[in-house]
Amino acid sequence: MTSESMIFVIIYLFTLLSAALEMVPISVAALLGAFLTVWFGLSYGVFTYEEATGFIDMKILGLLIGTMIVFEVAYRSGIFRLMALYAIKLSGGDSRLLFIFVCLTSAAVSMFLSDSTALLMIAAAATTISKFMDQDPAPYVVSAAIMVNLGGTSTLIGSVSNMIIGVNAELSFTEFITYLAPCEFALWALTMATLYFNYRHVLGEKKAVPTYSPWESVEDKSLFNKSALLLVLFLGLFMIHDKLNLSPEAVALGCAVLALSLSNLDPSDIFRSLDWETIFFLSGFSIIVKGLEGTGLLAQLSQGFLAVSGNNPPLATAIMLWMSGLASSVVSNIAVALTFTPMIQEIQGLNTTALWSALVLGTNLGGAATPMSGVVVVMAMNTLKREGTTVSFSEFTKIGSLTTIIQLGFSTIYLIARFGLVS
Amino acid sequence: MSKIWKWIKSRKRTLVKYEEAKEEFEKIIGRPSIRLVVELPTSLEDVRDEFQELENDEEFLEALRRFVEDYLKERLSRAPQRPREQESGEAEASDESV
Repeated sequence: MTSESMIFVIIYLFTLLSAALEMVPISVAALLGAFLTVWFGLSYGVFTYEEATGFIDMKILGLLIGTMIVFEVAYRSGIFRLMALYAIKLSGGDSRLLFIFVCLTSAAVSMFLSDSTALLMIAAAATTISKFMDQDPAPYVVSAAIMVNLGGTSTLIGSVSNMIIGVNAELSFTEFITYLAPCEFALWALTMATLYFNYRHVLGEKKAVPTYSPWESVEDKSLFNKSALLLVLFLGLFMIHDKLNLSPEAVALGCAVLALSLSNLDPSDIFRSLDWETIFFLSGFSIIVKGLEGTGLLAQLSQGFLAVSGNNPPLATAIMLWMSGLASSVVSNIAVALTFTPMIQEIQGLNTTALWSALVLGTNLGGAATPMSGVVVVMAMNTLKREGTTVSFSEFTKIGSLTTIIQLGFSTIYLIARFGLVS
Repeated sequence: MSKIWKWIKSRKRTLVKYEEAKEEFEKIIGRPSIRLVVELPTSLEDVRDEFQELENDEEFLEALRRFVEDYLKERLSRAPQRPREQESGEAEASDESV
């Protein structure tokens, strides 16, 4: 390794470490790393200034920001709160049913909302109703965090890592679903069953829930109807965007403009609510990875990966899945997706669709293995702390790592069977 | 590992969205709550700090909860028997006038 490469590796590792340990906010860590990458890159002539200006992928940013705006408007209309309220009402106060509905709603809502927004909303519903029913909110909130992490694995817009992989692999919305939806729904069932068996003894007795009409909770019916129509249009356009020759970011940004125009909400208020921490982290880390790519190090790693897997498709897919899954359980899955994407792009002669699918599953599934795996789990722990309940590191790791291993194990079998990797 | 976890947990995070969502849910499915602003009585100007500490004084809050319970029970027992809806409507009206 040359001294230039070494500097970029140090910047990369230092950024990952400081973001994982939250020595500074993750956005600051990534932007500092990006600044150093550009500085050293230009000083050593690894890339030119013109090349550096193209390091941030505007397609991914457009897709991310457009999607965030559409779902922020939908969130404010009360659509997702309505789902949570119906889930509670349908349980009829039966704690076992409530547990299942909380799990299902968490996964369903996180297909649309960002993981942190989905978790905070479900945690708020779960802590409120469990308090009313004199129950411990911990099983509900911990399970919600695990299910939120799982939800949206099979859609292009389900997570930021999916957007990165989808745009780079040029996978359409429907291709994403075709390859991964059966696996995701099977994982929902498997994970819910695991969580239920783990918590079934601590779920309380049946108790009447308050009588209420979920529909009455919708304050602005006009905004609700517009948002519902917009979501249908948004998803409809995503289903056929490849046939219309529209790129995903064009659909997302077009619908975002429509949402802002129709909602009558204050745009500056909507913009303030966007997850800028993620947007800046993505931008900064993209630059760091491009710097690393410029040294040829990722191409070498890609060759190393091929050598280890021996050009064996099932082994290569399994290694990609578990490696990205384990890496995502320690560091940000956005960082993992950005790092592994150029590596897969270098690979030839293997079933790359299987490798992309493995990367999608790995980066999503690793996010709830331990309390330190992702921001969703940390937030779940913080909401519980706010309610006077604590879940220890080992308590969460026990259930989080169990569900992660089951999910990765099942996904390995699914990918091998789905892509016919064993001839 | 647990030390790292403690460090991460100690980092400040805003849970504004959680608080907002919780407030919405509590209105519909939680136990109703009210928020009041109590000013420092003019006769107690020299005990500002003690007054402000009452906000987190568990003994005071418990006494307040008992007072609310006793006050409401007594008030309801004095009121003539009538449909609850009418009763609550009047109660709201009288609160507004206060």
